Amino acid sequence: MSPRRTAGGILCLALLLARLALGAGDEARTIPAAALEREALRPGARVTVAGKYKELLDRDLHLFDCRWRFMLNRPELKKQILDFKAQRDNVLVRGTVVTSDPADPRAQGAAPRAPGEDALAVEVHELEAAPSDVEVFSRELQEVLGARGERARAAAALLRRMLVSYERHEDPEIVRLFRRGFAEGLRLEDPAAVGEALALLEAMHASFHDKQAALEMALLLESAHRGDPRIPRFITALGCRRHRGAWVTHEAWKEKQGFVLHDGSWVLPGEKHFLETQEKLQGLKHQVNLILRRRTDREYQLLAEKGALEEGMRPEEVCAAAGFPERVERRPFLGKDLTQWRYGGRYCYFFDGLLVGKPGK
Amino acid sequence: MLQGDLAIFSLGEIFQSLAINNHTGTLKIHSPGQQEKSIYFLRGEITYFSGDSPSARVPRLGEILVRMQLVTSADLDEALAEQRESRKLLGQLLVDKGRIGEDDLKAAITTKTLEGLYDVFLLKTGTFEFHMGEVPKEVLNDPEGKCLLSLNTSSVIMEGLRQIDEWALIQKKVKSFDDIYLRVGIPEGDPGSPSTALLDQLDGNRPVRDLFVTFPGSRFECCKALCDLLEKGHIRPLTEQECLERAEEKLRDRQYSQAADFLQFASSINPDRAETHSQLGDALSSLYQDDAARAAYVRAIQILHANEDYQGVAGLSDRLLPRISFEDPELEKIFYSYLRVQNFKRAAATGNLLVSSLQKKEDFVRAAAVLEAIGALAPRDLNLKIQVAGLFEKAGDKARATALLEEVAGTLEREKKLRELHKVLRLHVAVDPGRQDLKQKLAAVQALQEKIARRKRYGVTIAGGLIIALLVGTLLPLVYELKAREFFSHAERLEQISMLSMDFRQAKEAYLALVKNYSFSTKVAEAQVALERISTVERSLFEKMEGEAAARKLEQEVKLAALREELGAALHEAEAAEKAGDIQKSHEIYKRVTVDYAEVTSARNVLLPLRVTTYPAGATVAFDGIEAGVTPFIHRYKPGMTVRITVARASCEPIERWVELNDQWELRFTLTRRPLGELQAAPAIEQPMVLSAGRLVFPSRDGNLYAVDPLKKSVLWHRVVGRFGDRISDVSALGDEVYVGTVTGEVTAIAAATGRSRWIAKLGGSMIAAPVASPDGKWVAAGSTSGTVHLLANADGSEAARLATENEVIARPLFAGDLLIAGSTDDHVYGFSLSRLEKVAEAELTGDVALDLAGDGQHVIACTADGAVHRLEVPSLAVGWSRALGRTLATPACPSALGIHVGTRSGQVVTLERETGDVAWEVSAGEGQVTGLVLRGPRLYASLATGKVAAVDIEGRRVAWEYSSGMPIASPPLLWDGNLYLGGSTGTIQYVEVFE
Repeated sequence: MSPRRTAGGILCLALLLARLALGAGDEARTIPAAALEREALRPGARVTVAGKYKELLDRDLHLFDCRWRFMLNRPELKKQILDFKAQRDNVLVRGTVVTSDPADPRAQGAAPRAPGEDALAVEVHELEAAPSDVEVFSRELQEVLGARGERARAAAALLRRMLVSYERHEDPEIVRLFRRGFAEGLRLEDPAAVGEALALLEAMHASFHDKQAALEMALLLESAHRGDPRIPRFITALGCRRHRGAWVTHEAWKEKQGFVLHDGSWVLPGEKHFLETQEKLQGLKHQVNLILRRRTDREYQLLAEKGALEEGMRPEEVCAAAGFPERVERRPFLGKDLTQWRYGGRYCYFFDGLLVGKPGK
Repeated sequence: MLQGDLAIFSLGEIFQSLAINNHTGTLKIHSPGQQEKSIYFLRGEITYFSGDSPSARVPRLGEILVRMQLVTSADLDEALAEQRESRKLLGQLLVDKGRIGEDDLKAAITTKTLEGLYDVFLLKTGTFEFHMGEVPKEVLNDPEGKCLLSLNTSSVIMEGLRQIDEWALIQKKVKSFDDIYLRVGIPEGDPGSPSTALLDQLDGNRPVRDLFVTFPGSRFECCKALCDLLEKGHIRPLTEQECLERAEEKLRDRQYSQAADFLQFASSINPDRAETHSQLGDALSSLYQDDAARAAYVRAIQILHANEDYQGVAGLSDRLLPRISFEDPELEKIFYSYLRVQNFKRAAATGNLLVSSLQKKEDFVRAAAVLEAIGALAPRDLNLKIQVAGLFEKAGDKARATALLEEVAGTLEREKKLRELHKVLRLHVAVDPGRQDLKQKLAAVQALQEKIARRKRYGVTIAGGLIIALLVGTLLPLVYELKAREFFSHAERLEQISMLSMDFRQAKEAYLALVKNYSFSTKVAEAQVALERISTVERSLFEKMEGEAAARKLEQEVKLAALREELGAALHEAEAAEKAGDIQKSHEIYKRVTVDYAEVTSARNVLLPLRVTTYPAGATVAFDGIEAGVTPFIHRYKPGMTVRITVARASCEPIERWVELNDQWELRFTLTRRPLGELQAAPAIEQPMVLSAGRLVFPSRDGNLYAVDPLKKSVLWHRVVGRFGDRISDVSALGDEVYVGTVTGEVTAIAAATGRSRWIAKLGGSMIAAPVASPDGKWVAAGSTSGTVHLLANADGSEAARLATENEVIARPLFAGDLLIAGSTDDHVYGFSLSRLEKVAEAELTGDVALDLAGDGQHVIACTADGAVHRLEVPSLAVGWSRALGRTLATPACPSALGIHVGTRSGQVVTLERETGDVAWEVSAGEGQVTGLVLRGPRLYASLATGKVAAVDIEGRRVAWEYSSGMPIASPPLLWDGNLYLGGSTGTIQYVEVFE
């Protein structure tokens, strides 16, 4: 081994040991992004911040609940940040606290450290994936459920944080965690907790917009507090109703009644078909000389005897081919009227006395 | 036109004249035995020549091309083969194929034309014509001169005349183109000159005409060269002996062509040698040159005949005959040669041919001579003699003809061949009609012929008659006796039978017939004895029977007196039983009387009682068309009669039946129901009919509301309430008014009597359920598919309230006191207060309320689509009980005092307990869906989609009777005035009487 190689190796080992000695103290604690402003940090300090990736503006990374800028001056970091998804992923940022240049337009809106002082920022040296919200909430819920003594308050706080997280990024796993936390973390059997639980459910409904989930959790609460008028009132306020002895949501009830949604309204399938057909037949408005009856009477008669339907037929011919309809609906349409003949789930349409729509195969 | 004879004008003179005068036209030359030649002149110059050469001296175009060494022989053969298919001219074909140029072709044509022209100069006989100005179009229209020549006429004349002179010298040496020369010695000369080349080919095997093909010059030049060689002694012609030897050698080698060449030359050297000609004929015959061969044979025969070598002629004739025609002059020579050598068969064949030929030429004398010569060969052939006589007669030699005929007649007379003799005599008379003796002889022969024929006929007739008479005389007596004996045997058998049956009539008749019909028979005496025997037996038997009859009569009178007394008592007993209604017992007594007291006259005339009943009763019964009574009734009959019974009743099918009345005491008929009448009222009836103001009112699928008078059976009015196909609402009635809703949401109050509307309310939303009026007539409630129940004031149709449900209302609402009850497909039944006009009660059921509600004032019965029946309390609408039947219900509930009845889609009628809802009983009304129930007393009438109506006995829990309408029924029946009114999907209404 040559003397030059031996000297190089010793130098590298010395640098590694020096780095370990200098940085070990600063990186021992990870600061949540929301708590960063509360920390007494000075320029030059090395920090590790954990937070949810909010957005990337030019070269600056922004995290939720934090007004600090995290400057990605190194090109490899800008490439690395593309592996993360904004609004969803949590990141671990390691860097050095620096002073923001007041002339830099990107520093506008950054939080000043103190009145009269320059705002601070973090120059990022390293990026790393942090545990997701679900993992964090799952771990914390586990800790809450495992804690002894009063846990309802902590559980409620955790559930509210879950709602905030869900509003940022609609992860259905959070709904599952919330239901578990609601059922196991709160003291549902305590009459005093009913108000808090209903308030949580109301907030949950506002966040999740999941009426069925809210109903199920309310019914869980009702099973523990039968006769409490607040709970049926809450369920009714959700738009639910009783059907054959059970509470169902309005949507579920409508579906049970056979209704379907059409342009935000609940209508029966036949009505929906009628409305959709009306929209399709709007083209008839522009057809000044509507000539639908292309064949002779005899030809239509022969078709009807074979049981075939064809546009241009009269009601008598359709009747000869397919029999009388089970029900008939008629509406004014384009100055005349449109008639719907229903054969079970199959429909025929007559415009001004001639067949314009026949059932598909 | 210029014309003349070649013997007077030489061609040289003609050509010279045409050239000097610059004539244009066509010179045509005719020479005997040759084709016409045409030479075209254009302004005095020869331009074209056509026509075969007069001799073989002129070569063909292909030969010239080979000779000029422009093409090879192989090329020429190939071109000729192609020419036969393409039909092109040979020269043009070779030019097209690139074998020769056009200049080469023109040079060859020039050579050919010149040689042809020079050849024409040799003609000494013939005629010529010059057609002035007549030139073919091809000649005039060929300005480029592709086909045309321009030959100087003077040069042609000079050369032609020169060749004429020289040909005369040449022909002295070279006599014909068949000559064969042989080279002698080896001459000195130019090895490449034509003479040297010609000398090389003169090997004593090739005739002169073969040398033309290879000689590089014209034929004239070739012949001239041969003359030179002959003069110089370089060649010599073959001798006859050499020719014959070489010919014999070639014949052995079957080289017939070369052999023919040698023989041809030999025959020209020695033309009188018959054998040479005969051999030449054989060689040519082998080459299939029949004409040349025939000429050679003829020449040989001529020589032999001239030399009187008849044997040789006969020998050659065998070869010549297949090629000779019967008009050939040589035929006679051949015939006489055959005669000379006494070949009779050949002579006869040849002679017949010759005779035919001579007859055709009308040379009867020679023909008769030939035939006579043939006749000499067969002296017994009479036909031949008759033919010869005929020929002599035609030739005018009557004497010889007569002599021959007399000879033939004599021969036939000797041989007694009368028919042939008759023919010959007739011929003889025709030849010599003046001879009377011949005519007499002909008449005598004819008479003799007839006499012989007549004698033959008589002989046959007499012999036949004798045979028949003999047969008749022998057989008739024998047959007579046999028949008589047979008849006697028959009579004997009848007598034996009569002894057992005591009926002697037939036996006596048989014996008497024998005596009468066969009086000459030997059996007559025996028959008379038998007759006497039978008479004796008859008499004794009669006396015995009379005694027995007197004893029986006395005994009968005693017995009758006793029976008359018993009969009176029995008849009294029967009448008593009949009065008591026991027809069966009465019938049995009467029947016994007829049997037991049959000897009493009055007993035999007793009539038996018969009870006649029908289901249903009230039918009129007729026996043999005579009305006997209305069922039930008692009828009396005499046993053994067969009667035609007809049973008739209104609303039933009539019955007609043949019945033999023997010992029946009761007749029972079950009648089949039939409609009292039917009316084709509308296109289709698929919804319930209602009765209002004595009218049946119902909607039809053609968009009309119909009113029918059930008594008059006619449509009183119909009113448009929709369009074709519309499913308008059911109809309800209150008093004289009916209420109906349409698919466009209109409710109309209509007077049932007139069909006029009192008010129309336009509400919106299609109406399925019937609008219903409250019992007090104040309100009308109509439910729509938009889920709204409209409450209308019946006074004017104004809308008083609008009551909403959450789904369609397709079931008829119900008024119950102050409450309007409506069911919806939102599973609920709602109660609206009529006084407060608001919803006051509701009940949630287990399914959609899709069938009309039924009520009895205190309760509401609702049937839901899930197959459950619910009873709700009024006015709270509390559910008293719900009962799931587990099947699809098809009719609204029909409550009665004995339960709540519903019909199902599977054809069941189910009855529930009123208080508990439990299923009390159920009965199957039939197959298919129950389409409606109607209740009257203890009967529930259920109509089915299949067209059947079942009357269910509620108390007996069974189907009492059924009726099949024969039409599909989709609506419930309507019961009024003892009749069921059935509306069919075909639009027909049937009226059926209800009798139980």
